[in-house]
Amino acid sequence: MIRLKINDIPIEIEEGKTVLEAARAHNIRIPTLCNQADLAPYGGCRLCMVEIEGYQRPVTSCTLPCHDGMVVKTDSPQLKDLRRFTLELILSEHPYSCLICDKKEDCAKFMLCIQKEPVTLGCKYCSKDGKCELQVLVEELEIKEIPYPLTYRGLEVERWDPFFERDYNLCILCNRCVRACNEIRHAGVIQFQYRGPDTVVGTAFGLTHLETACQFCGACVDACPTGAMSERYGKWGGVPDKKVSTSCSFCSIACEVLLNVRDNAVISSEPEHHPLCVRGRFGISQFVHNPKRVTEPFLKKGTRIVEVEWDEALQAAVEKLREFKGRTGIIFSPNLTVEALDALIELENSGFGILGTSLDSLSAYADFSLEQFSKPAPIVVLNTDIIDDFSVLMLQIRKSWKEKTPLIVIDSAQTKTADKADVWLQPKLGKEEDLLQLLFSESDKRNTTGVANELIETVKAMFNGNGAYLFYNPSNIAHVKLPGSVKAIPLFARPNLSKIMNMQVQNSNDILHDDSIDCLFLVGESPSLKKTYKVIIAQDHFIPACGYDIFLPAATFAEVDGSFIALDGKRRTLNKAIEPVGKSKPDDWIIKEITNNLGVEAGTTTRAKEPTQKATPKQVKPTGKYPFHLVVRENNYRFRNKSLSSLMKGFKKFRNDDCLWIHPADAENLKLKDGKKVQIISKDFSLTMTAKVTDSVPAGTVYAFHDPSAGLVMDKIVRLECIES
Amino acid sequence: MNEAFVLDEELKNRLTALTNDYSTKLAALLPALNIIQDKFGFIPPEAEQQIAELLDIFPTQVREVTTFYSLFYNAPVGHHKIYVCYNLSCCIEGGGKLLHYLAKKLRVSVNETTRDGKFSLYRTPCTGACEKAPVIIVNGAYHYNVTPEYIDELLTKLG
Repeated sequence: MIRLKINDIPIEIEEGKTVLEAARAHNIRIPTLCNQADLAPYGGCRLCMVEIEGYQRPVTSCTLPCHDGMVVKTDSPQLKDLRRFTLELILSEHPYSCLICDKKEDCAKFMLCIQKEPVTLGCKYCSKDGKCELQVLVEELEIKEIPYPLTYRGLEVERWDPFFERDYNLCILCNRCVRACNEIRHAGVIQFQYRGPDTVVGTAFGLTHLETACQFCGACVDACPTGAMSERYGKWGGVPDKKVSTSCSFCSIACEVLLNVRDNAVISSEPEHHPLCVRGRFGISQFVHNPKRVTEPFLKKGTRIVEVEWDEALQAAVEKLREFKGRTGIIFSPNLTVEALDALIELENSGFGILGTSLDSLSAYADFSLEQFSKPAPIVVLNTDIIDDFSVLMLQIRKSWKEKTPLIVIDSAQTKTADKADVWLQPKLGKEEDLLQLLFSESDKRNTTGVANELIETVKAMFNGNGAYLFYNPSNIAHVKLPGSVKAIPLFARPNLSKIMNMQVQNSNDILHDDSIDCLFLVGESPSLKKTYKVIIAQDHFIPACGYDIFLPAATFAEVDGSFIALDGKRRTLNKAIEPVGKSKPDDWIIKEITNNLGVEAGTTTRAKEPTQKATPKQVKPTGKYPFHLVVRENNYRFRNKSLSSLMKGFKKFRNDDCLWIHPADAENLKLKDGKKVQIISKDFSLTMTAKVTDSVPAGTVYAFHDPSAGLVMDKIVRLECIES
Repeated sequence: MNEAFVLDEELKNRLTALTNDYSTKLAALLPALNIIQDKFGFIPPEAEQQIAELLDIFPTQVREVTTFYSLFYNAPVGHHKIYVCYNLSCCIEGGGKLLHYLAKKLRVSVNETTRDGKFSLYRTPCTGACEKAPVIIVNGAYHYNVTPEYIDELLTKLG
């Protein structure tokens, strides 16, 4: 322990801490701009200057380690002058009319002056108004005017990327965004460029963020102390009334997230303890207040669809369920809360229908916790785009290790993860398991995987007897036999798996193929239908693609109290941030109302439960009639019945999952051009999609994302027809 | 990727050998960029990308360095680079006139390259040789007490 005095207060602090950290730990205020707790000290803004006895001149406290017997002063008049001078210089390149105008208090309310500063120069028209760190500092240092002329840099505002936009005219070059990108996310997308007065934050070669490896995690936006980087959607949302801590439900990792709420609306979300991904950072507010969201109950009366009250809609649903007792299939999405799932079990127990969900290969389910990854070892990623889909998990694992371990990707397609990997092994389709055998066991099997023997030897040398962590996509590979040193972790995209396993539900495909079922109750799911049903009851946020007779609007995860089970088997709580939008109601409330109104005592199951059949992946071999192998990839950018890209423009730009990846050679044979429509025909379905011509997939195969509402569930052999050239 | 700027094996080996001389790979960045500039005359973006891969750093980090130093060129420049000092001592001795003379003679303005790609003209702050002002630097070599006649001679010599 080190003893020092700050402003005559004796302080004890462990070794290695800086003076700034010591002061902060004891609530002594030192103003800073470039400092951020989770980033390395930078010493750029020079505002944290302190006086130390025995030192000739003030020093930056953020870079100065404490030592014994130090006597520190943080608030002398000289320091205040120095800080004021520094801030004035910083502000000489930042539009400051919003900061030092003498009418600023009344400006927004009364609009006192006729002549406003141009919008670009600030006034009260900066989106960061009220949240800006410069405003706080100007107040604190009592700056009333700035003696220097404003140098407006006249840079173009960068509005061409989804999710956030950048106005580097407001940038004060604190380097926080750059360090956040490098240190928190290890993405290395932005960096200072040029020098002196020309210095600007930018990407390599002036590419747009979409063209770089940017994951749109928003770490840079959260780091920005000014309005230089701002979120597109929540930009003008203002200062939040409250912040509510809850869990992001978009995928199975379930990160903690803070929702900023103002006037019963989620204006934005921000990370609480750990970094978020693009879905949690930018997706939530747009999802909750999506213009496509339906928040009123609807009923089909004859040929017309009418808006009705809850009583009427529930009554209609109950009547239909009574009418089709025992002939109802209840297909639910795993994205529900545990409470809603419990309510569903009760509904099934009342004997009106059978439960089903679209999860395959549940047998591979295994709990894991981050403690499992205490020992650094190479990471092998099989058939899953871990950097795109599970970026937060990857970050947390690698963050806990001091050394960097190799990342090896086994994938027949060139994903974003494959681009970033140390080694990318591209086996032939269906040969992934053989390749794993070759990698991990001393088998004398002939190498038919299409991967060069030398490359396999190189990877084997990387393991070096230390074992490895294997992350794989359970829906593509069913059985992976591995030696004990290799830990295999299946990455499921959906939460609540341990719960659903105990529920012993049917596979939704079995229900859809069951001819005796005439009524469907869809809870957050929208399967592709094999026959016409007499009644479809849909309970969701958005209208399902398969149509409906009764629509019950459900509240999103930001509007309910509850819990769900994350990938690591632990329960995550959901806290209600806002009242349900419109007339929507929580899922569990709706199901319980229906069960109560059905009025049947529990425990009178009519149909004997059969355990879920294990899905065994069938080997598909292209034939003459169907020459293409359609590979269906797990889609982690899908929530309940919609893919995020179909709801939000940003996601459509960032990751369009409504397209078919096809190799250029195949596209040329079909005379198919990028972005044109193509029809996919197989034995039992046909579908029109947009083609994405890319050499990241092997020839003879086409890739699409999992989409049950379009019937894209399993690998198939297909024929392609170009319908637009 | 432009084929012309793909680094050949020999060059790659030289760059990899460089990394052994330093404690971190990042430290080899400046010498590596110098080698590239010697080879191509400027630093093509393709080469930046390949250096980033070789040194295991992000392309933005390479970009940060190449844009920071004004002596790394991001676009093709003339075969001969002429720098004219424009600080006080040189200007008193006629450095400013020299700059105009060169600009007129080469038919370019400052920071530009002649159409035939032979000469590029730049200004430079003090070169530290004030006692022999005016000074110009041509391809890294100092020329002292320069006069317009000397420039004529030099330009003919350089062709």
